[in-house]
Amino acid sequence: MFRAALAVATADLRRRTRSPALIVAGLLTAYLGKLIVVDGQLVVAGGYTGVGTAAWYGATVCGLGTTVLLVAGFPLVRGGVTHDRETGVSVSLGTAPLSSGAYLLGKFLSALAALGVVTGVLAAATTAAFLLNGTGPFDPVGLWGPFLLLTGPAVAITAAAAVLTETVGPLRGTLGTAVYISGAFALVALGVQGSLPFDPTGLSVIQTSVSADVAAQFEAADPTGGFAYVPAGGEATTFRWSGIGWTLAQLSDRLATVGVAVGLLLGATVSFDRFDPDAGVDFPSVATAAESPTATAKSSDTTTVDEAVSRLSGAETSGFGLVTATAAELRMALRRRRLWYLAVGAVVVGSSVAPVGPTRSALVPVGVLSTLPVLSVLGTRERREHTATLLFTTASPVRLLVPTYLSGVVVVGLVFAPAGGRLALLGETGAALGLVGATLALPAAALAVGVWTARPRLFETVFLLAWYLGPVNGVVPLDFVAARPETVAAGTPLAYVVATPVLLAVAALGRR
Amino acid sequence: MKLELDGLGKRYGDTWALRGVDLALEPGVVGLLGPNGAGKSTLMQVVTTFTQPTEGTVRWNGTDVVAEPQVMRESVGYLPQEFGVYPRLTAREFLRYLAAVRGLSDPGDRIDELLAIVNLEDAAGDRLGGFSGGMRRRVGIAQALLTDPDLLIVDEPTVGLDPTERARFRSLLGALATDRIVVLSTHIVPDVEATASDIALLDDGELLVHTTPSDLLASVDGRVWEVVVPEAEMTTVKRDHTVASTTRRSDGVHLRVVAADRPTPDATAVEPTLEEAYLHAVETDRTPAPTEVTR
Repeated sequence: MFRAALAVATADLRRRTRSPALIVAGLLTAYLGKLIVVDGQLVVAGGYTGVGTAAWYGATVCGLGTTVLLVAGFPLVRGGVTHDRETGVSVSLGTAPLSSGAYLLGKFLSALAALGVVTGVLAAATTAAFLLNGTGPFDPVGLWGPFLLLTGPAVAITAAAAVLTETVGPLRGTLGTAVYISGAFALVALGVQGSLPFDPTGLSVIQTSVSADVAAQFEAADPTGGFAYVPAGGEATTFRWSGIGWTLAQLSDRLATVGVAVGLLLGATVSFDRFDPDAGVDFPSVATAAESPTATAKSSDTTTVDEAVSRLSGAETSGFGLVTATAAELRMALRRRRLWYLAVGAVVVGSSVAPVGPTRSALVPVGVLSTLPVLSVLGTRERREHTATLLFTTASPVRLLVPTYLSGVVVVGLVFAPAGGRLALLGETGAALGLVGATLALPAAALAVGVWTARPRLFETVFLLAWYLGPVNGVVPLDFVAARPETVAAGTPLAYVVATPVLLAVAALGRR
Repeated sequence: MKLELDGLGKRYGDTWALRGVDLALEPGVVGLLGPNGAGKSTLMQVVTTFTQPTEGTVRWNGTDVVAEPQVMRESVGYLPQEFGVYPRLTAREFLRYLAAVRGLSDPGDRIDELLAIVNLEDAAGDRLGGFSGGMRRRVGIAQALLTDPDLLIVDEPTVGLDPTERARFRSLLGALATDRIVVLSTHIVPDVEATASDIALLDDGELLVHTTPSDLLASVDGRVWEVVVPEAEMTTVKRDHTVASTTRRSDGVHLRVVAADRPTPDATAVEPTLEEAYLHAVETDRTPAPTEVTR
């Protein structure tokens, strides 16, 4: 079994290394390491920062890096099973004497190895930063131990969840990304608070150890003062941290995290359908009789073909059929989305009758989530459905972006229309402009990302992170629906309106 | 109408998929033949402007379509070897969408007529997600004819079609070729034999020959033999000669052999087929020329 799993993992890892995504992720991670220990510093217990020893460098970077990888590593490694499904390799694999467990273990190992590469780059960048700027002797255990024991188990959860969501029908698409990212945020928060029997990121291990050393060295220190990553050079009292003194309880916690990953992987083996399109866990099908089983067409004789060709109607051209093309884009986006209609219906009705305040601060931010499944596929369809050869040889590829963009605008506009209309009538023009900006800019951003990546995952991840930080937590530049008054005061909606043509130009550039 | 390729080449990385192709086509069906990897699909992708050539030019009625791709896009109908459809649309909706993006006004009647021609009128309202491979191929044929193109390029059009539909498609190509250029790329030589007025033979990215079927047949005249051998000797004949076909009968195995000289004393000369002429041309191209010895 392990031999087969290794073969699957090797092949999948080769595929991953031939995509620029892994290189880009590695570079971004290295830059993150620099931001943390060169351009910034970790301040704990209300105003203390550690002397730049190897252990301090390792823990500082590892703490934030693990959190980032737990959340953002998911879209990076997701897609191994889907790739086999989309490329048709699934037929060979599904009929091969390869056990489902070995196949999924291989996919898990490949995802884990990819995240291991990124973690390795982060550790290497941290090492370089220590050698250039650090203090004290080189301590490989203190420097690299946190990456191995804290980041390793955490990314095992990410890798296992990536495999699991690909084996559960409803979680294969946008819903899976949304569920994972929100779940990961919850896991990080609950783990640090101690509300879970384990801490996925291991941040509490660092926090406990650092707080204990500060308290031992400074009586005035507030051990509940928490962690804060701040720009370098700020005022902070330095203390010497002895590093994580690994205890059996801490090691058990990391083992429990690995256990969760194993549990997720076992769940995947239960739900995996071996690519059988008629099996596995899925929502009730709404397929028409014509879709399943396969539609059939009767045969007729061949003698009428010449006559039929001679009688064919003319093919007069009169310019691009924008309305028809946009209608078709909407059909493709909205068909077979029964749950979507329910969700959007609830948002539209709620936005029409609820008080304006909660509508703006709660219903609109929640409602915009419903647009994600539609937006994230904009610009990707031609490549994913293999229709590029049909479309791009007979029509201008750039011109085809227009109906795609308009379909996104229609969907977002539909969700925002009741709230926007009411805000405008009440004279809240700034807030209404915020919704107009989102209506124009979100589809443009989705299109730009979709055209360049041909996959929905990057947009989904960026959208969800921005949504969490902006509309939910009030980071003004990312509050793309102007859920808060300060966003309007800062002129953010106007910035999104101005960004729209730039994003559309980026999309057009990708299509040329 | 005229399609002219001049010194056409396409390189992927260090590999030339196509090189030095000169070809001039006028109305009629040209059969594009060649083994796997010969460059047929690349040639069609370059001509249809889906990908740009590395060198050389493609001219459609005198216009350089690399510089002005829209000129080709307005004139071409293309059925790729591999293509997808949008599974959530019905066949009619998919064709309406393609008609809209290609600028067709009021295409309803033409779409219905094309669906009837490809024998899908009864499935026109069904979603494409439920179509079989052959039915999707027929939708592909219909979309290639949407704009009544002056240049029709079809890549392996009969793959996945049952014999009835294959015959129907051959008739369709013949009917269409009267007033347009049809480029038919296929491995199925009888399809070419049934429809083509010209043959262009590609191998290893180069154009071996552009000729008529009768001239290609003439090139192998007197070089096709039927040999009857016991089962045990079949391997020896296959090792030493190009064998076009094998049939087992009560008196032994009947082999059709393409060879310049009589392969066995008992071999009898037979009428060549286009498939055998094709095999001969490709094998001749691949056989290294004898080295000249200078004294």
